[in-house]
Amino acid sequence: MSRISSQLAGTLGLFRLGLRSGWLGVAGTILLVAGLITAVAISIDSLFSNLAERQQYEATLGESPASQAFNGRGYGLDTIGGITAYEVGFLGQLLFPLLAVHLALRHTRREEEAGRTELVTATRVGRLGPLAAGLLIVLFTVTAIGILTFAGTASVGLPLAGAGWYSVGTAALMLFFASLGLVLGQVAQSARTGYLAGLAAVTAAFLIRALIDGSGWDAVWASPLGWFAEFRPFGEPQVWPLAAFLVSAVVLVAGAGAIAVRRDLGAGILATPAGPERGRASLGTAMGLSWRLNRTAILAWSVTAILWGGVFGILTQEMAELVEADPTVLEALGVDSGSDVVTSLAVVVICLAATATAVQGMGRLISEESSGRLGTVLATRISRKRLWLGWWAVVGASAVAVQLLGCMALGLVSWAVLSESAAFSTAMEVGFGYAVPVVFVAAMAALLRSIGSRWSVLGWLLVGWIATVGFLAETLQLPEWARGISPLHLVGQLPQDELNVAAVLSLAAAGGALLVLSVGLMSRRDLAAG
Amino acid sequence: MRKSLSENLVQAQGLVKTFGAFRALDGLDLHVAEGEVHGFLGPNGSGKSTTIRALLGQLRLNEGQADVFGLHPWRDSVEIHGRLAYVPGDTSLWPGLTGGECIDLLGGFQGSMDSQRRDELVERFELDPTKRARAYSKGNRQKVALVAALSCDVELFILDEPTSGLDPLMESVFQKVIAELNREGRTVLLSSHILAEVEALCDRVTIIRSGTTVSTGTLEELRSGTLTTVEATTGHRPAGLEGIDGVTDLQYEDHPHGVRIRLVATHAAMPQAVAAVTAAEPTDLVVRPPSLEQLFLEHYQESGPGVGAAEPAGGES
Repeated sequence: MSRISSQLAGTLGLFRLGLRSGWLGVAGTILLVAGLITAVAISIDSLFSNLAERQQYEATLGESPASQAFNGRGYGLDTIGGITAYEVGFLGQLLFPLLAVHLALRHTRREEEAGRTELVTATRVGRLGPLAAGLLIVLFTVTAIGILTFAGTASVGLPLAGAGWYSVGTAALMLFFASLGLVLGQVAQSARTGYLAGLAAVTAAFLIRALIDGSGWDAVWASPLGWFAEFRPFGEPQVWPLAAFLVSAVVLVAGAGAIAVRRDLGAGILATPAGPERGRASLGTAMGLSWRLNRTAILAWSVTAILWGGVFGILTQEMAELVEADPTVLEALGVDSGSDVVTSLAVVVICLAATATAVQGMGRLISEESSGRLGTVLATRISRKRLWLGWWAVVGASAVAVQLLGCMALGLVSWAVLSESAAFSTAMEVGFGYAVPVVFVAAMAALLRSIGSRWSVLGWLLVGWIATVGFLAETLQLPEWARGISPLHLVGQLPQDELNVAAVLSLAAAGGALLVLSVGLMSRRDLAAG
Repeated sequence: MRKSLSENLVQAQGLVKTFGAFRALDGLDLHVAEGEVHGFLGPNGSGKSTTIRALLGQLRLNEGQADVFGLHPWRDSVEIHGRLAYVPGDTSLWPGLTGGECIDLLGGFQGSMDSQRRDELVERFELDPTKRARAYSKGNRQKVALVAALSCDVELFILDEPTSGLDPLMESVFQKVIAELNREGRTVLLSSHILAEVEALCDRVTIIRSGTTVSTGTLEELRSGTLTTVEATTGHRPAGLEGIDGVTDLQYEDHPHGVRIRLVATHAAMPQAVAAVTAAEPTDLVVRPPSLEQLFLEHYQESGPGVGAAEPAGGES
C-alpha cells in the first residue's frame, strides 16, 4: 500500500497547479455544458408551454427516425424536460464527450509533451501523480457541471427529480469520456494523436448509436452514447446507465494507471518506427509542406464526413417509410420528401467537418510560427506570400474535398437504399451549394490567423456557431442577424430553400477580399519567433 | 579599418528595434566583409538574435539602415534568402518527420542544396536520418539544421549559436567544415558564446551589449587596446623602463639571481618595453596578453563604448 501512496506523492500539488494553469479551460468547459443545457431548457419552456403543442412535437419530431438518429431516443417528450433533453441531443452528444476527452488530454499528455511533467516529476512527485492529478481535475469539472446543470435546469422549473437525473447523467457521460481521454493520454505519444483517436471514438460511438436509434433496433447498450438517453430522466428514470458509466470509467482509469506505472516518461506504448532517410522533392514546396503536415487531419475529417454521409444515407429509407405511412409529417416538417430532412441535417454535419478541416489547417500554422519552424522555412528563398497562399490553397481545397466526399457518400447510399437517382443529385447539389460558404470560412480562418495566434480561436467559434444555427436556431429562437453570422445560413437552408445565388456571389467576393487582406497582413508583420 | 561598401555583404547602421517599451536594438552597427568569418558576440539578451532576425526580414526595423548583398532585408527578403543559409540557435523540427525529411524539406525550400554534400555531411556529423525528429536530442536537432544549411551552395551562412548542444567531437567537425567553406571564399556570420570556437574561426568580431555595438575589429585589434602583463627575471635592473610612455604598474623585487620585474604595458609600448627588458639579459621572460575570456568579460560587464576597443563603434575608417 505504501508503494501506491508513494507513487501518488505530489498529486494534490499537481492538481492545484493544473487548476491554476488551466482554469480557463476548466471554467469554459463547465460553463459551456451547463450553459447550453440551461439555454435550451429556457427556450423550450417558452416555445412549448402548453401540452397540446408538446404532444404534437412528440407525434412528429419524436417519431421521426431522422430526428431520433441525430438526437438519440426521446423519453417523456410530452414534458418540457423531455423535449429539452431531446433537443440538446445532437450537439450535446458530440460536444460533451469531445470536451471531456480534450480536458483529460490537456491535463496529462499535453503537459508531458511540453516537457513540464519531466520537470515536476524530477521533484518529490510519484509516477502516478500526474495521472491522478488529471483525474482529480476531471472529477472536479464533472462535479461542477452536474451541480450547475442541476441549478440551471431546476431554476427554469423542470421537476427536481428529472433535473437531478439529467445532471447526474451528463456528469457520468463526461466522466466516462474523460476516462477514455486519460487512457488515450497514456497510449498516444503526442496529444494530437490522442485528440484524433478521441474524435474517432466519439464519432464511432455516435454513428453506431445513430444507426441503432434511426433504425429502431433493440440494442441501446451497444454505444455509450445510447446509455445516455436511457437514463430517461424525464420519463421513468433507470439506474443501469449510471452503473454502466461508472464501472466503465473505473476500468478505464485503472487501465490508464496500469500503463502509467509501466511506461517510460515521455513515451507512449505505440512505438514510432524509423522513417524514410530522405524527403520527397515535393516536401520542399509550400503546398507539399502544407499537405504533409495537414494530411493526417485531412484524412481523419474525410473519413468522418464519409461515415456521416453513409450512415445518414442509410437512414433516408426509414424516413421515406415514415412519410409513406403518414404524409402529413411532410407538411409538419416543411419539406418535399422524407430524404430531404435527412439530407439537410446530415449536410450541416458534413459542413462542420469541412469547416473544421479549414480552421484546423490554418491553426496548424500557430505552432509552426511559435516554434520558429515557420521562420526557418521563410529564411529560405520562398516568399511569405507564396508560402501563405500555397498553404491556404491546400487547406481550402481539402475543406471542399471533405465537403464533397461527405455529400457524395450521403448521395450514393441514399440512392442505393431508395433506388432514386434524384437523392444523389440532391445531395451533390447541396454539397456544391455549400462549397462557397466553406471556402469563405477557410478565408476567414486565414485572416484571423494572419492577425495573430490569439485570434485563431475565433475560427473555432465560427464553426461552433454554424453548428448551433444549423441545429438549435429554432430551439434557441435566435434572431435573424445572429443566424446570419453562419455563412451556411446566408445561402439558404438546403435542400428545402432555393440556393440564394446573390448570397453565394457576395460570400465568394468577401472570401476573396479576406484572403487578400490576410496576405497583406502576413507580409507586413513581424514573425513571432524564428 | 572598415572595408568599402561593395565588399561588405552585411551592412547595418544604427539599427533600432523596439518591442513595446523595450528597446531590443538601440543603434546597433554590424559590418560583415565578403570572405570573412565574422564573430558576433554579446551576453544573453543583448540583441544578437534580434539583429539576425531583422537581417532575415523576419522583423521590421524601427530605424536604421540594413542591407544584405546590397539589398533590403524586408523588401527583397526572398532574393536575399536565395543566397544565404541560416541555422537558428534553438532548432525546432517537425516532430513527425524524420531528420532526413527535415533536411530535404529545408533544402527543397532553399533550392540550392547539393545532395552529395548533404550525404557527406550526414556522415561526418554522424546523424541517423531515419529517426523521427521528436526522438532527437538537442544536439541532434542542431545537427539536422547544420546539415541542411551547410550543404547549400550559398555565399553567406548566418549561424545563430549553431553549436549549442553539440559534443566536443562534433564541435571540432563543425569547425573543420566552416574552415573549409571559408577557404572556398564563403562568408560566415557566426553568433557564438564558445570563445575557443570564435578564436579558432573568426577573422573579425563584433561585440554588442544592450542592443548597441561596443566594439568591432580583428582579435589582434581588440587586444591592442588592452594591457599586456610582462614578467621577467633579469641579471640587473633594466634602464629606461620608467621613461617609456604606456608602461605602468612597474615593480622590482630583489631575487637571488638578479631582479624580478613586473610591469603592465599598452600595445604601443610593448616593443620598447620588451627591448628594454631584453637588454638587461633576462633569464626568463613571460609576456601575457589578456585572455579572450578577460577581454569579453570586460566588454560584457560594464565597459562603455570605446574602452579597450580597437575602433569606436561604427567609426568611419
